[in-house]
Amino acid sequence: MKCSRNEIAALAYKAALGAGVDPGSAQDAAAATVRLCVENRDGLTILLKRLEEPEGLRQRVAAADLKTKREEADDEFEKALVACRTDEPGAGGAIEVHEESFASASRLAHRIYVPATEASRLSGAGAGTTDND
Amino acid sequence: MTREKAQAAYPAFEQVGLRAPDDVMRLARMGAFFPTRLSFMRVLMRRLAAQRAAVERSVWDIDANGFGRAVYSVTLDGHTYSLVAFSNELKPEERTDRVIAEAWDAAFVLFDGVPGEADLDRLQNNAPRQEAGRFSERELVLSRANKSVRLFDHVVERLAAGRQPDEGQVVPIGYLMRTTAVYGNGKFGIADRARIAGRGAMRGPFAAEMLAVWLIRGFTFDLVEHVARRRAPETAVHLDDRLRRHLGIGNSTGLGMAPFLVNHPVLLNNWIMARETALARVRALPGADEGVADRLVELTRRVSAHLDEWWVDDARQMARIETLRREWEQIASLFDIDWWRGKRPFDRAVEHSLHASLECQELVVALVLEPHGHLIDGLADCMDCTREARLEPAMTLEQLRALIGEHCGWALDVDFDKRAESRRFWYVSEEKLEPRLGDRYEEQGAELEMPLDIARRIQALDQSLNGEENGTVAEFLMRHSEHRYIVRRIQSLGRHPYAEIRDNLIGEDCLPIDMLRCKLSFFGASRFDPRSDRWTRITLFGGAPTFDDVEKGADCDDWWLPAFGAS
Repeated sequence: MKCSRNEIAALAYKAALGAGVDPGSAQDAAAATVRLCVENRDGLTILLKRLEEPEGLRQRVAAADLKTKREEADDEFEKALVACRTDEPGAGGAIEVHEESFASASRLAHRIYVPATEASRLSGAGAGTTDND
Repeated sequence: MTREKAQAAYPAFEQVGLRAPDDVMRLARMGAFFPTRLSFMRVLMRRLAAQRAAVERSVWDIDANGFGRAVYSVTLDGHTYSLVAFSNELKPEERTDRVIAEAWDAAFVLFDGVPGEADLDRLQNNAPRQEAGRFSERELVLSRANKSVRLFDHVVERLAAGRQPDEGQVVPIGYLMRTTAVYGNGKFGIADRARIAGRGAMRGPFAAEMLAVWLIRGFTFDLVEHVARRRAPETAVHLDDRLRRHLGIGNSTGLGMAPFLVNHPVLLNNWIMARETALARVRALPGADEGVADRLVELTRRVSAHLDEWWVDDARQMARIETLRREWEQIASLFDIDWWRGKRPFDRAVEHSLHASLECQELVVALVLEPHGHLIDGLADCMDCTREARLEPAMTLEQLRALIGEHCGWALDVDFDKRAESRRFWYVSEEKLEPRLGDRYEEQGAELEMPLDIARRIQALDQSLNGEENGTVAEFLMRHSEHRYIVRRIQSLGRHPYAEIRDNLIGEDCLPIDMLRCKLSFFGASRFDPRSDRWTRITLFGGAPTFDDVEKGADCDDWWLPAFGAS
């Protein structure tokens, strides 16, 4: 399926949070995922593999801080992390994503959603007043 | 570029000091912002007018009841954009509380280029489904809308009978349709903003979204006239220009929009920085230019009329409006032609307003900016943001501590031993996939809260930094990844001092409506009509130029705080 970069970034961020990664590292992981996609790699699948070990991903994000060139990075994910800090992504349009990876990432993202309750519906954004006139 | 050339190309403007972020970035003040000439709708309209953009209605396949599809195209900077409109029949039982609404009177897509039949068929299947539909990068914006049934039916009835609608109904309602979300930037597979961000008129924040809404507004006029004409071809008349200009597009905006400001700190900074810089330039002027004093007297009068037409059900906002009306009456008599012809009149006006309510202070700010387009309109080019802040791993902890000292006093002052200061939590609702606000002590789900607890995170970082030897941020984050998020935010404050809302967003007293009003004022919305402390109605493009105005080269820049009574 085709996705926008922003869609992938949002999904990757939420998937990382859902896997238990802290929000700061999740932001960088999401940016790296988009960068991989832009460079024609299967970013979402690569991220999902990393999210099997959230602590490892967190360390990788921190390790990338110490590197200033892509060439110093140990693997493609770290290269993408470094690239996000050192240069700008190229132009380009929609990105082809494996539906399976999209679904897996969505399942992880789903872990951060809070189920509705009667109380939350009543106090929700548009609750209490109808919007008809 | 030589220094001389650079100075000619980028003249340096005198300016006074910027207002302090500790004053500007408080929720109470943000919740009192008004639109200015730097608001995105105003900027877009100037760009449309500069190109004398002509809107062409290339498809009008609408039946006698007003159902079917239509396409409007407009070319800007050599790129054609098309609004595709689908108008559907909505049964009365489907017209319901918006939280659970699933069907709509109309669905819209802003298409990049001119859609062919196949595109239209594809969009017809997907557009009404919105979140459940799937889109391509040819689509730039999605939205949907419901009619104001009361006003729409009234206008049809009157026009069909050869009469104009009752001003007493048109003026207070102010729109024929209201949209819910106006989606852009990659949602549901539509184009990323990057696709259009480099194109002239589209380069400002939310420019594509605003263009879509302006085109929707034109569609609602055509639709209401079409239905009237088909009902009574012999007697039907056109909607009067003055009424047409008054009508905008309604919009209901809720909590979904509030976290946006927190999730885009540099963008928020750029909006505020542009406006504050504009204010600092105007305040530095030693006197009013030719014509400016007269103009300000006229605008002050228009504001009075605008305030008289601003009625809301919400008791808190209505009380504020009443205070503002009283204050504005005093201001109008004090800020007469002689005031504006005096020395440093704009700086003195802003100083004087400090005795009044925050609403009044912010209204004076917007007022003094209004007649100074030549001085400040260029700042609109500084309001977008191509990238949020990057982490600076090499920064020392000493430098980080200095930033906390300079910019985060407000956060360190919050007493989190008080339960009230952490009563709220922001989360994403499984049901709506939208941000919501919960009560930590009454509701489930706080363990899944979104990181909008900025003040609390700053305090946690501050504590972790106690006892740390001096080292780099990178070394520190190796051991403390939980602080990575807040460290990046704090690092950006040196260059982006307006990036952070300087109030506790999880405190019991936090009113999301203040965040909404800040954002919507930058869109250019007026007539804020809070329906609770969590969502608000507004009108977009009320008083704005119409398709004809833009094409014919009418003045398209004089619709700040419009008042029907003053038009």
